[in-house]
Amino acid sequence: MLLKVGDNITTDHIMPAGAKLLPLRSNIPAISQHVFAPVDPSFAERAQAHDGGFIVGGDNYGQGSSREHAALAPAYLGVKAVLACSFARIHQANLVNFGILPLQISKEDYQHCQPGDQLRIKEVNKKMVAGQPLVVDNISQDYQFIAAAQLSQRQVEIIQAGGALNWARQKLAGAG
Amino acid sequence: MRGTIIEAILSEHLVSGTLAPGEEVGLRIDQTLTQDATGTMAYLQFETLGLDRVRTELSVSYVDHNTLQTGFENADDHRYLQTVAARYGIYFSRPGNGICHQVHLERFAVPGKTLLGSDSHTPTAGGLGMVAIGAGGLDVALAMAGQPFYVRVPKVLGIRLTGQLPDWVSAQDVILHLLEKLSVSGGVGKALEYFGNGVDTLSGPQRATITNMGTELGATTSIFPSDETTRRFLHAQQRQEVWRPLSADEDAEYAQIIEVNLSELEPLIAQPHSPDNVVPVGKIAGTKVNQVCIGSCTNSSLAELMTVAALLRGKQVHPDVSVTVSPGSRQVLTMLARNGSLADLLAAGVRLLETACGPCIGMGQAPATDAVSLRSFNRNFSGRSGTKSAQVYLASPVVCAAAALTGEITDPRTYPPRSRWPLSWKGQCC
Ligand code: SF4
Repeated sequence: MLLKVGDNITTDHIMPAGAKLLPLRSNIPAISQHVFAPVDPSFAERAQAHDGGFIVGGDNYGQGSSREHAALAPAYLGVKAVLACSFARIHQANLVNFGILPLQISKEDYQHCQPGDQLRIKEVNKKMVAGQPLVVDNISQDYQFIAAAQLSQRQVEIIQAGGALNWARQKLAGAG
Repeated sequence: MRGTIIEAILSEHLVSGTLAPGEEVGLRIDQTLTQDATGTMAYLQFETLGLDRVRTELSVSYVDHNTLQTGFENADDHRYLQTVAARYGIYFSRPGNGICHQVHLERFAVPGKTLLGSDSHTPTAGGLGMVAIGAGGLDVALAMAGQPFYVRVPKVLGIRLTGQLPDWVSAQDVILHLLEKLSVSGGVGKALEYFGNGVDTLSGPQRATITNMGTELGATTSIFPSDETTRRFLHAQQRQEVWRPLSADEDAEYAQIIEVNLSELEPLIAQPHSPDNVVPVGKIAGTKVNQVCIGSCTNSSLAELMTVAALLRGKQVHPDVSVTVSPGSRQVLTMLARNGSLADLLAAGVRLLETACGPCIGMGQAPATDAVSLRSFNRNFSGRSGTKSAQVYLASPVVCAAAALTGEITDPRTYPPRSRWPLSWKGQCC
């Protein structure tokens, strides 16, 4: 678990804009270094050092601007899933589009998780396809909790394809 | 949602799924818009799909977010956007034309159609009776490829407007009132549909201010009926042929109805650092202000800016306040220039900015350390202005203009009623 944040985290927190960063919108490796900079400037470095990981958030995670860089840049840094109490609509869709799992967790489990905890999610594909909740092992604290993927059939296919671009390309190719 | 405008438009555009709240449906998208900060990625993605042309009725690429060319990066991006637009049959709106939502309202919005934009404030066009939804760039790229847009059907909240806005109370106060009531997550999974006889008292741009900031509630979209006011606005834009009437059935079913009596509203202000941290302006009157920024996609229509100009006419802005105005579009700026309002603004000491997002997205005008900045915008998230310690407040353009003159947060109702002003505001702007 790379980072724990509170309620109403905006996409401005996740991927800030402004005069210094907007020119980098076409340079993903460069702009990714600024992910979560207003909250925790060491985030990008830590994510890369761990080869990715998870983010834990509170309610209404990802509200605000529609910027998909708030999903694309974390995906570049290797973020695999965001576990939050609830998500804002556009950001939830963007996470799926870039192959990051948005997982809903309870308030209690949110409070339980501590930054730096080692989390493991097993049998993601099987459970996702079956529409069953995922089981998260909190290895550091030695307990398990439930995380709901709440994906539509289409979104499951997108995650399996590694993102919406791959998914759409397969679909368009199939349609001839 | 039976009998609502949202239901009518969604069912006309339904490609897959059933129209029940919470269900994922596929929708046919008639129009798309992108802006530069999200657009470059959206078009790179579109290009990988290998099509010859966009498959929408209309797609527009705006350049409005980053127009400061501080290095080659930005200029290169603009060149890419222009060439990719020419290649695939997309309208290119060059830098200086204005903010995507304002320009789209003026030039392209069509009642009853669907619009998908890679910008969260795309629902601005809902002011003209469009189902307009914000999405990530990739979803917009897929819509340009003719693919359906998939979204969970929102519950439809009915907002019944009655009465009429009192003097110095603005469209922004309507939406700030709803934000105070519902919070920044109160609209998640919902669409806001306005109805009631209060609707008739609001102009096209005023309605667009309200639908614009419905985004701050987390709503999927917001929509107004398409009526005589809508027709007049489109007529003024020389495109009344696209008008069609749209209203909810008498017995339309809303998930919930929220009553708003416009006559009872007062000037409101959102305090740092969230758009729902709302109090009456009077409650914090006297707070010193260091910067005032007027404009953005929320509030930079001709009528709003003419009101600001009329308030500042013949006066000087307070010496301790840096006041900027960024008109929403080239059209608005041109009309301000023609009717003399621009000269009034300049003579009062206003700093004129390019018709673009500017300070709203932190492109310049970062406030001083610990400064208080009052803005007629839609977001005051911590740090978005470019200065972490800045205290950003949000209010209507008239509240901003009052503070520009006094140097402190001021209830504009201390001014004489508008009816006693030399200009007749009624019917002046559609
Ligand atoms: S003016 Fe502000 S809110 Fe509107 S589109 Fe530009 S950056 Fe977004």
